[in-house]
Amino acid sequence: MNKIGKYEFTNESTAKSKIAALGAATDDDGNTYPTHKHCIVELGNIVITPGDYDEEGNELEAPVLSEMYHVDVLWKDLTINEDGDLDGDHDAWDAYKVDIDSEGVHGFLGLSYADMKV
Amino acid sequence: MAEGILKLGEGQWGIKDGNLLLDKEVAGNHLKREFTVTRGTRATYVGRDGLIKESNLQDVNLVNNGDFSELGIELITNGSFDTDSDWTKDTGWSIANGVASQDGTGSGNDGDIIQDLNFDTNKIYKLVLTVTNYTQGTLYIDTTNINLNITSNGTYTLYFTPSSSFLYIRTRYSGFIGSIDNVSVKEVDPNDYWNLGTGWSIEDGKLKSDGTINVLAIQENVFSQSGSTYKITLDVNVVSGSLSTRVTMGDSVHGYTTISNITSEGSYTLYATAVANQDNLNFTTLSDNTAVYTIDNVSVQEVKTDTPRIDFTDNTDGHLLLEPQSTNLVTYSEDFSEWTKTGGTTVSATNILSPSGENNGTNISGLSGSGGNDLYLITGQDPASKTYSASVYLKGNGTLRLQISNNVNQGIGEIITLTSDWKRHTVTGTFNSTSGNLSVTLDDNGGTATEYKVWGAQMEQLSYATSYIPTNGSTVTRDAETCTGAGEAQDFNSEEGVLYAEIAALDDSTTTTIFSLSNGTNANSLYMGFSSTSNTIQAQLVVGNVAQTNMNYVVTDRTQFNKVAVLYQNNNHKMYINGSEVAVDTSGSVPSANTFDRLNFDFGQGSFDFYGKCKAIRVYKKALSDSELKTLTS
Repeated sequence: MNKIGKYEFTNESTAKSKIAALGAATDDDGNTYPTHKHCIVELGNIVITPGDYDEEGNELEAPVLSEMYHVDVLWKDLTINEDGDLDGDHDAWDAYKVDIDSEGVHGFLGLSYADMKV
Repeated sequence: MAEGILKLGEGQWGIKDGNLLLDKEVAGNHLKREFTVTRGTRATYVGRDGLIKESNLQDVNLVNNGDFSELGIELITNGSFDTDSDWTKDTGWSIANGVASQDGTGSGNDGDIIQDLNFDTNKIYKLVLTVTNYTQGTLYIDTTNINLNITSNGTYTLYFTPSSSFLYIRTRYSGFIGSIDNVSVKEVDPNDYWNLGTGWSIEDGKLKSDGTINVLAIQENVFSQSGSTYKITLDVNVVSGSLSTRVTMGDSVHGYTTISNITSEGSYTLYATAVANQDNLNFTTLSDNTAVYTIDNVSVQEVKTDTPRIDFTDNTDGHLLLEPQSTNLVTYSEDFSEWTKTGGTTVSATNILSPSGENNGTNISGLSGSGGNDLYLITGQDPASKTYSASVYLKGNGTLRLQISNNVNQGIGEIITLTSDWKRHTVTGTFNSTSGNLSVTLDDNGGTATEYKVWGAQMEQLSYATSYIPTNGSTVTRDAETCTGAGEAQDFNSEEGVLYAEIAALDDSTTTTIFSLSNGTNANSLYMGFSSTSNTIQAQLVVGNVAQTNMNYVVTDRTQFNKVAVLYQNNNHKMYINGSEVAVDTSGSVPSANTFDRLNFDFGQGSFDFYGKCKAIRVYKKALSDSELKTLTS
C-alpha cells in the first residue's frame, strides 16, 4: 500500500542523506539514480508568509521562509506486519515526520494526505 | 515475416483491468501478455477526442440519469387530435381539424379535457403542449389547478406531480379561448434512479431544490467499492437566496460521510474515498440555506491507480506515454482570479469551454498592446542556475507574451501567436546564478491581443513540459511511471530475433532512457533507447555482463518519432532507423536459449526507466532480412 508522509529537517544535507540512504546507484555515465520507487519531493524552505510585490512584480517585502528543509514522500509498497503495523522504508524517517491538519503547500496528484497519512 | 510476433500499439491498444496488453500473434491467433504499469498518483493525457482526461478514471459514470434528462414513454394517446377520440370533453371543448379547442364556455370542474393516464401520484411528469388560435385566458393542469400561464400562441412545458391518475387540462374563471395540439406527457426519471424528499424535484433537465432544509435527494449504490477513490463532478446554479448544501455518501442506517459543503454556484470537482456500506450519493439542503437552486450534470467515476496512458497528442493512432516525476509549481493552474493582475487586466469570464471539455476556462480582457497589463503568479521558488519550463493553454486573436522570470533582472519569454483553437504554449529557459523569485507572466508587452482565453498553467523544473498537472491551492506532483514484465521465456528467442520500436524522446537531455528484453537483470539484456548523448539512439546487447555489441546513431531530432529495428544474431548485429541501415557489427555472441523472459520499459532490473512516447513495439523470434528490416522501419 502507498502512504504519504510530510517531513522537515534542520538542513538540506540531512534531508539528502536520508534520501540517499533509501538506495541509489551510479550508472556508466556517472549519473546517480535511486534504486527505490518512492516518490520524493524536496520542497526546501517553504514559504511561511508570502512576500509583498508592486504592480511590476518587484519585491517590496521578502517572503518569510521556513527555517526547516521540507520533504514530502509518497511511500510505495508498504506492508502490514503480523502486529498490524506498517513495515517499510518510512520507519527510518519517523523522527522527522510532521503531522498537519491541512493538505499543506504541496500534494500528490489526486491523492489526499488526510486519507493516506503514514 | 516470422511468426510468433509480439506487438504493442500501431493504433491497436489493449488495456484490461488497468494493465497494458501486449499482443502475441502466432499463426493468426492472438494471445495477450500483460505489462504491469505503476504510478503512485493520477496523471492526465490527451484522449482520442482531443480533450485532456485523467488516466485513472473509469469511463463509466456510476450515477444514472445524472443529467436529469431521462424521460419515460409517451403516455398520451391521440395527443395530436387526429381523431375525435381518447379524450373526455367537458363543456366548451371540441376536437376537429387536428386540434382540441375551447370556446370559453367551460369553467371549473366542467371545463376539462381529460385522459386517464394512470398517473403515479408520487412521481414527476413533464407536460408539453402547443397553443394555437389563442384569444384569451389560460389553462390549468390537474385538480390542484397548476397554472400553465398561457398568454399567447406557442409551446408550453410544465413539470408537475399529479394528485390523481387523470390528466385534467382545465379552463376556469376567465375562460380560455383557443386550441391545443401536440399534447405530450412523459414520466421524469422513469427508472426511479433518484429518490427525492420534500422540496426536491426534477425540472428542465435539472435537479431542483425549493429550499426546504434537511431533506435529501438520493441515488443509491453509487460508492460500492469501499476504500476506492471516486471523482465527483456537478454543476450548481442558484436561482435565488443564499446557498448552503452538502454532498454526502451514506444513509441513515450506516451514517453519512461529508464529501463537501457547497455555498456558491459553480462547477465542482470533488474526490472521496468510499466507506463501507455508505453506498448512496446524497444532496442535502442545510439548515442555513435560503436558496432555491439546481444541480445538474452529476458524475461519479471510480479512480483506479496504475493505469497506462495512451496519448493522442498530434496523432490519431495514439502512443504510450511514460513520464518522469514532475511537480507543477503553479499553485492555481485553472483559477486565474488567484493570479496578480496589473493595469487593465481583468478576469471577465470563468465559464469558457476548456481543453478538458469542461466550462472552466477563463477569459482575460483589458489588454492594450502597450504593456503593463500583466497576469502573473509568483511561485516562491528561487530559480538561480536552474532550468524551468512554463506551459499554458491559450486561445484568442493577436499576439501575447509568455514569460518566466526571477523577478530581479532576468526574463525568459517569447511573443506567441494566439490561435482560434486551444493550443499549449511552452517557454523553457535556464536562469543565471542571481537569486530571485520564480514567476510566470502573461502580458501585452510587445503583443497585440486585447483579450485571450487561458487554462491549464504549469511550471516545472524540467527542460520540457510534461503532461498537464492540475492544481488548486498548492503545488502538485505527478509520480513517475514504470511499465514492465510483459511476456515469458517462450515468447522470446534469445539466440536471434529483431526488436523494433517507433519511439520519440520527451527531450534531448543527457538522461539515458531505454526499454529492453532481459531476464530481469542488466547482465543479460538487449536494450534500445535514447542515450546520454544528444539526439542519439542506442542499442546494446549484453551477455554475462559483457557488451557484445553497442550500436549508436545520431538522428535529426529524437523528440520526433523514429522507427528503429535492431537485429541480433550470433556475430550478426544490425541497426536500421527510418528505412536505412545505420550500424552493423559482425562480432558478438548472443544469450543462451530461454534467457530473455520479459519486455520491460527499463534496463530489465528497474533502472533507466523509459520516459518517452512509444507508438509501436514488435519483437520477432527470428532474424529478418535486410529488405524486411528496411520495410519495417520505412
